Amino acid sequence: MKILLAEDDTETAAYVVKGLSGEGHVVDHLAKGKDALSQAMSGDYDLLILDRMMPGLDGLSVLKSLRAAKIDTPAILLTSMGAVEDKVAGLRGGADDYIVKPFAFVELLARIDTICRRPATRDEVLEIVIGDLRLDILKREVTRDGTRVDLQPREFLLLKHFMERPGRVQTRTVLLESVWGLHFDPKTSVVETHISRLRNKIDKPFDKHYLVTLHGVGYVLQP
Amino acid sequence: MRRPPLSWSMRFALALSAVFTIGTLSAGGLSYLFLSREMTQRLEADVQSSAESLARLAATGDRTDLREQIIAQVRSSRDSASLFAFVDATSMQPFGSLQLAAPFEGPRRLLVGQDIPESQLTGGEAAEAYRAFGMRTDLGWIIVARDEAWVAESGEILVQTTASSLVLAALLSIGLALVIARKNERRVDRMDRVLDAVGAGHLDQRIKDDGSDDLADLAARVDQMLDRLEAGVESIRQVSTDVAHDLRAPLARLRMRLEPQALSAEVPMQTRHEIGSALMDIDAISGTFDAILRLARLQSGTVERRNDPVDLGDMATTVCEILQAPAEDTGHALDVDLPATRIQVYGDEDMLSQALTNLVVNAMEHCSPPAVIRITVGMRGEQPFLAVFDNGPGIPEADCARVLERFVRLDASRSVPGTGLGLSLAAAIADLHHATLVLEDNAPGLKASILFAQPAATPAVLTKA
Repeated sequence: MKILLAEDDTETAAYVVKGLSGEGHVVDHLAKGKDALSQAMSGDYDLLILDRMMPGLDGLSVLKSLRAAKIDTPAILLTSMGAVEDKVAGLRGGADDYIVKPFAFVELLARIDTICRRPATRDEVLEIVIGDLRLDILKREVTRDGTRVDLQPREFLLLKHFMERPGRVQTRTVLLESVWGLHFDPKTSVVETHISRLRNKIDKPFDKHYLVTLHGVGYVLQP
Repeated sequence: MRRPPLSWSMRFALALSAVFTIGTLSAGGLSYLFLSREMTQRLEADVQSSAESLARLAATGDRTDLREQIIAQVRSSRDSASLFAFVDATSMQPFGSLQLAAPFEGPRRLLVGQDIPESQLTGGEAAEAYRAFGMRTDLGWIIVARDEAWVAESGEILVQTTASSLVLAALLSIGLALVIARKNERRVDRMDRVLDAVGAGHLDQRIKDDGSDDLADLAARVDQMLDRLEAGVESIRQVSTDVAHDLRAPLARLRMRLEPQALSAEVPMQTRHEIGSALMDIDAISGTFDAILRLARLQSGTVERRNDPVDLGDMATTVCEILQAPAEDTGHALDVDLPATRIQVYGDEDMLSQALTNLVVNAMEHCSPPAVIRITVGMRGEQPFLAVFDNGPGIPEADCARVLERFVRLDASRSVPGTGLGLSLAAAIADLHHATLVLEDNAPGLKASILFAQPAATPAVLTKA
C-alpha cells in the first residue's frame, strides 16, 4: 500500500516508516501539515496517517480540508489527546480511526488491517479455516480437529476476530473495542479472562497452541 | 438556587418604608404633646392674668365698677368661650356667666356637666372642659374660665396635617422603594443566572451590569473574576494539552524503541518478558494520565455529552455480561436485578457504562472473595437509579464523601491495585448527567447508587388485562 505519514516528531516518524516498510508498504513522510495537505490532494494514497498536533496546520484541519475537497482516502489520526471527546471530534472530522500516543506499533498495524480490509468483508465469508481450526460464521460453530468446541458468545467473537487476522498481533485496546464495543479501559481482566478461557477450550487438549500471548504487547493467533 | 419569596431588596424597601412611617408618627406624636402642653400653659396664664386684672379693680373697693366690668367682658365673649364669676363675700351671691357650687382660689380644670352645668352655656359647640383661675379679694371671689376647645382644635389640625402628609409620603416612599427593589431584583436575578451558567461550565457568560451603584460595582468585580477564571481554565487546558504532548511524545518514542525488542525472536525470552513488563508500565502511566485529564475535563463541566434515551436495564445487562468472567475468575458472584418495566434516562451510554463498570470493578477490587455483587436498576420514588450492592467491607460513613475525591484511597485498600480515580470518575459522570452518586451502608457492604433526577419518559402504563 502507498501510505502518507504526516508526523512532526522525527523519531516517532522514523519508527513508523521503518515498521510499515518492513510490512511491505511504501511510506512518504512529511513533517508539516501544509505539505501533507497538498501532497494528499493528489489522492494518490491508499492510507493517510496524520499526527493531530503539528506546527502550522494540524492533522484534524488537514483531514477536514481533504474531506471538504471530496478526497476520501482512509485516514488514521495519531494524537496526544486521549479523551473520548477528542476521539469523537476526530471521527466527526472524517477520520476512520484514532490512535492515542504512546501507541503500540502492532496496534497501528491492526487498525490499518481493519480499515483496509473493510471493503473485502462485503463478500460474505461463511467459514474460516486455519489448520485444523474451523469457524462457521453462519452456524456460529467452532470445531478443532473435527471435534466441536462449545464457546460462549464473546469467546466466539474473540476467536472470529483472531481467525480473521491470523499472524497479526492484536492489542488489548483493539480487542476491547472490536469484541466488547468498549471505548474505555474497564481496568479489569476482561480480555485476559476470556483469552484464557478460549485457550482452555481450543488449545489445551492439543500439542499445537494457536493463541499466543506476547507479554506486554498483545495476543496473536499463530497459523 | 431557590430564593425566598421576598428578595432582600424588597424586604429592605419595605423595612425602610416602615421605619420612615414609625419615625414620622413619633415625630407627629411628640409635636402634638409639646404643642398642647404649651397651649394649655398659655391658656392658664391667660385666665390668671384676666382674673388678676379684675382683682385689681376689686381692690379699689367699688362693687358697681366691678360688676359693670364683668358684664362688659361677658358680652364681648362670644359663644361662652370665656366665663366670668364674682361671688360676693358677704351675701355669697354669685354674679356673672359662671355659676359655681363653691368658689375657689388658684388654677383648676372645670369639666362641663360635672363642675359646670351644660344649661349655663350658650352658643354652638359646647366645650368639654374649661381652664379656670380663682382669686380671693376683700369684696369676694373672682373666677375667670376659658374653654379648652381651641387647644383640642389646634391638636386636631396638627394630627390631620401630619396624617395626610404621612400617608402621601409613605405611599411615595413605598412606591419608590418597590420600583428600586424590583429593578435590583432583576439585576440580582441576572447575576444568579450568569453564575448558574458559569457553574454549569459556560465560562464565557458575563453579567454586564451597566448601572452606576454598588450593585453594578459588585457585578463588574464578579465579571472581572469570571474573566480571570476563564483565562485560568483556558490556560490549564492549554498546559494540559502541552503536557500531554510533551509527555506523550517521549513515551511514544520509548515505546516504539522497546516494542520491536519485545517481539524480536533474536532477543532471549527472559529479556523479552522484562521488556513486555516495561511496556505495560508505559501503558499504565499513559492510562492514569488519560484518566486524570478526563476527570479534570468532566469536572470542569466543559465536556459535551450525548443526550439519547438510555435503557438502564439493557446497559446493566451488558455491563454484567462483560464483567461476569473476570468476576468469576476472582471468585466473586456477579448478577443483575432488573425491574419489571423498562427504565430509561437521557444521557451518554458510553459514559454511563463506564461509570457503572467503575462501580462494579471497585466492588470486585475491595471485597475479599467470595463476595456477592449485584447490579440493580429501579426507581426510588420518581427517581431512576442504577446501583451496585456488595457484601464486602463497605466504607465507613465518615469516609463516604472523601472517597469521591481524586486519588483518595483509604488505608484499608492500600494493598488493592488501582489509581483512586474510579469512584471520582463515576461521580463526575453522574454529575454531568445531573445525577448523584450516593454511597450508603449495605449492612454489611457498600451500596453505590447513581440517582437520576428523572426518567427519560413516562414508562408505558400497564393496563390490567
